[in-house]
Formats: sequence, C-alpha cells, structure tokens
Amino acid sequence: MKKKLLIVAGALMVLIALFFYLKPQSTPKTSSQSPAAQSNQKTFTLEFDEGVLVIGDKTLKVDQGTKVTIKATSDKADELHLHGYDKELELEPATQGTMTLTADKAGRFTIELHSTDTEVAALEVQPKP
Amino acid sequence: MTLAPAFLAHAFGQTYTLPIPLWLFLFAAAAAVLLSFVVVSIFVDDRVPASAMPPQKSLGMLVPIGKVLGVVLLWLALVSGWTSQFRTGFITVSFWIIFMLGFTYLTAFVGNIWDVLNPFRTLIEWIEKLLGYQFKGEFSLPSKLSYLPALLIYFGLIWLELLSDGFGVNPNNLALLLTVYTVLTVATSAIFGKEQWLKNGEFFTQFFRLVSKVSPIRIADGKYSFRKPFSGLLEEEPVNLWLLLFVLFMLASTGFDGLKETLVFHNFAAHIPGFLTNRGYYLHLTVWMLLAPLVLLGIYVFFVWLMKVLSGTTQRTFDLACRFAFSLIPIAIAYNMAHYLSLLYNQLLTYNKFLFDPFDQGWNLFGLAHPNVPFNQMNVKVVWYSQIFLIIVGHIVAVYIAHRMALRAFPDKVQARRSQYPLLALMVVYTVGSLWIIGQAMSVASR
Repeated sequence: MKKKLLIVAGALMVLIALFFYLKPQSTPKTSSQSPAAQSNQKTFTLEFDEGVLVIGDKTLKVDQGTKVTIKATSDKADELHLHGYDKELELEPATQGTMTLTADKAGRFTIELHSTDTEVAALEVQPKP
Repeated sequence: MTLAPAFLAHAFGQTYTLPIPLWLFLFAAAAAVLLSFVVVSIFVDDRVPASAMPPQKSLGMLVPIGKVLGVVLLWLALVSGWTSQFRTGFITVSFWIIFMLGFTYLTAFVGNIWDVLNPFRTLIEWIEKLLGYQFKGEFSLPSKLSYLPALLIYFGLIWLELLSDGFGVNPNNLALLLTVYTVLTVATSAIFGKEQWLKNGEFFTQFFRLVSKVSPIRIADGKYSFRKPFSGLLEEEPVNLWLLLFVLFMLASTGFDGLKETLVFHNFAAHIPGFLTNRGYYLHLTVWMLLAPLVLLGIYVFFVWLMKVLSGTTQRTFDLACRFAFSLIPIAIAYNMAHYLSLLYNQLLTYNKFLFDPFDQGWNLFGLAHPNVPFNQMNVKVVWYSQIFLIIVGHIVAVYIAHRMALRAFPDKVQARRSQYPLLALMVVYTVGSLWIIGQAMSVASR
C-alpha cells in the first residue's frame, strides 16, 4: 500500500515539475524598446475578388489586448462579418473599408463574406501568457 | 434573406477554440504515457472479485412521467421543426446540441435516462395497446447482422451533422427526418420485434446504452442501482464486428470532425482532384468519414494481434478484439467532451431564446428568456486545461478497464501481465492522436 502511494506521489511530482518546466514564462519581457501601447497595434489588409481572398493572410494572429485594424477591399458590394465580436463592415465596390476593434476576447473568430456565406479568414487571438 | 442568427449560419461549424499550444500537447502526451505505467504498476495483480449485484430499486412514478415526457419532447421538437420558417430553430439546437451533446454527457454521469425517456418504445407500447397486438416480431434479425442497422444509422447521423451542407440543420428537414425515423422504428419493431429492434437495431437506444456504461448509476427496466464508476464497461462483452465498429466510430467520428478542420488535413486534401469544389469536398469527406473507423480498426486489430502473440494465448485475435472493445469507450467519451465542450457552452448561453419561444412566435414564456445575451466564449485557458484533463482522465480509465479485462481474459498471471503492454501502447496512440488533433492549427475552409 505504502509503495503504491509512493508511486502515485512520485508520478504526480514529476508531472507538476514537467508542467512548470514546459509552461512558457509569464513575466513579460521588460525590454527597453517600444512601450506596450505602441506594439499593441496591428493592421491587416484584405482584398477580395469574386468573394475569394486574393491579398492578405487567411489567419490573422494577434495577442489579446491588441488594437486590430482590418482594411478590406472587394470588387463588388459585400459585407464582411467578424464572428464572436459580431462586427460588420459594409464594403462598397473597389473602396477600402476599415474595421477597428480591441481584441479583448481570446479565441478563434471566423471572418465571413455575406454574399457567399463562406469563411474567408479567421482572427486568432492568443491569450496573455 | 435569412433571419437566422449569425452564430448558427455555419451549421455549428464555428470553432471558437484555439488549438492547444505545443508545450501543453507535449506535457499531456508525457502525462498519458507516465500515468499509464502508474496505473499498471499499482493494479498489477489486483484481482477484484466480481461484486454481487447491488439491490435494485424501482424508479417508481418517474417511469410513467419519463415516458410521457419523452413523447412530449419529441412532439414539441417535431411541431417546432415542421412549422419553422427559418434556417435554424428550436429543433436544430435542441437535437444537435442539447440532445446529442448535452444529454450524452448527462447520460455518462447519471446513467441511462434514455431507457426511461425513450419515446420510440413508449409510442410502440401505445400502438400495441391500441391494436391489441404485441410486437414480438414476425421475423428474427440474424445475429450476424445485430448492431449493423445501428451502425449504419450512426454513419447517416454523423454525415447529416457534418457533411450535409446545412441540410441537417434546417428545422423542416430535421423534423421530416425525425418523423420518418420514428415511423421506420415503429415499423421495423413490428417486423423484428420491439425488444430485438430496440436492442440491436435502433441507434439512440444502442448509443446511450453504451455511453451509460461509464456511469456509477445503472438504470434498466425501470429500476436503478449503484455501481463503481466505469464498472459497467465490464458487465458484458461485445459479440460481433458491427458493435466493435460502432464503438470505434464513437471515437472516429469525433476524430474525423476535428481532423477535417485542420490545416494539415486541408493541405493534404487540396491535392486530391476535385476536393476544392463544393460537391467534391463533401463527396471526399464522406469517403474519409467511412474510412475513419476502418483506420482505427486496423490500428486496434494490430495491437490486439501483438497482445495475442506476446501473451501466447490460443484465443483468436478477433475474439480478443471483441472482448477489449468497451475499454475504448472512456477515451471516446472524454475526447468527444473535450472536442465539443466550448461549442456546447456557446450554444447553451443563447439557447434560452429558443427554449422559451419554440415555435418562433416571438414568445417569452414565463418571462425567462434573455434574448440579448452578449456573445461570450469560455476562457481559452479553461478550455485548454479542461480538454487536457478530460482526455487524460479518459485515458487512465481506459488503461485501468483494459487491465481488468486482461485479468479476466487471461487467467494466467504472466499472460495477463504481458498482454498489458500492447494495449497500453494502443491507448497511448489513440490518446496522443486525439491530443494532436486538438493541437493542430485550423484551416479556414475554402469551400
């Protein structure tokens, strides 16, 4: 019985040690460069042709808290919808539209064009470590 | 235009969960391997004597109430589905999310409530009374074909959920299908006998019976009793290939759903001619869905064969494969929970608007609905850690159950010990595979 308890306790200790060994450091880098407010902005440019993304990343990766600007252009009138944050952007033909948001919710949020009802991209907000 | 809420427009394809980070995947994989050996070394020679059946108590009035409730809920879903003019509604969320996910998890914890609620059984009983004729069966289902109907229905259901391009989400379609299914269930019960069909052919009865095996409460025939958690998995052994495939599909269907969303799969499949067209996409994925349990079967049979060779037993590989099949159920349930956890949470938050207005009349029954619940998703870290926790717990349980099965299958101590390692390796393969899938980057579907 004692031996079994020792095995369990030993295994749990190994696992706890392993967890903290693998877990990324949570202390933010106190680098001298750019203050947080400056680095916490990101702009993405998306361009659609016939409802298909032709310019820009399909996955927009940001850290939680980032101020995100999405600039989008479409060849025809359309509507861009960011799920989760539930933000919509009306697009006039060949005119750049801008959507801004603060990525305060972590998770994966798809971006959809309403004309085709398809996912064209996704915003991935990584949680703060 | 559509009036459907945007969050449902995707036939539940919306994934708000971020893939688990690599370090967490590595940690969980290591934990699975290490804890497997802990389980085996602790319980190495534990021969638990078969415990006597604990006393069964009657559920009393809960049985008739449950029967009526089951029929009322089915009726409510059907009427709502038939009359709906929207692309999604009460029946959609109630069936796919509340019933197929929520009710399944409830069954895993509190036992086979379906045994009481089963509206098909109740309807059949009412018809029997009405006609004054017992559905004892005019023909008997050949035992070789037992569970095959349930397996085929399972395939159909998962196809409808994941690959029907929104068809299965539409309330009218769902109501039509459920009505047809109810009529067919009654008809086949008349042909093959009520007990026989519900036990071997009907999907839901089979599915919830298997899920409830992990529960500490046994519910059957209007009676309940308590048992050790998961010990229900040891109460019987599967008898044929179809039931084995059914169990494997419990794991494979979730794995398939996860895998098809990943970037890895998408990049691979994009090379297949025709995959990027809408029709080709669903056609190819249908083939993949059908292949998924066969791939798992191949892996499973290989490790069972290894077990046979190492233990030197004279038992056939196929018989051994059947004997150990139920040990995979904990992994299947845990992985299913891990995969659908955040979806269930999201949908529950907004369910009240359907619940208190099931017929889309703009009702707010009892004033309980909060129509404008702001969208919210579970904290990402909570999702990650609960996913890891569920999968590891499922893994440990599976290893332990397989160990108990081995002690029973191999009376010889040395044989039993040797047989452990291939099975342990198998569980690690399945568990690390599930973890790997929830750690993969998602693709943005290009269909």
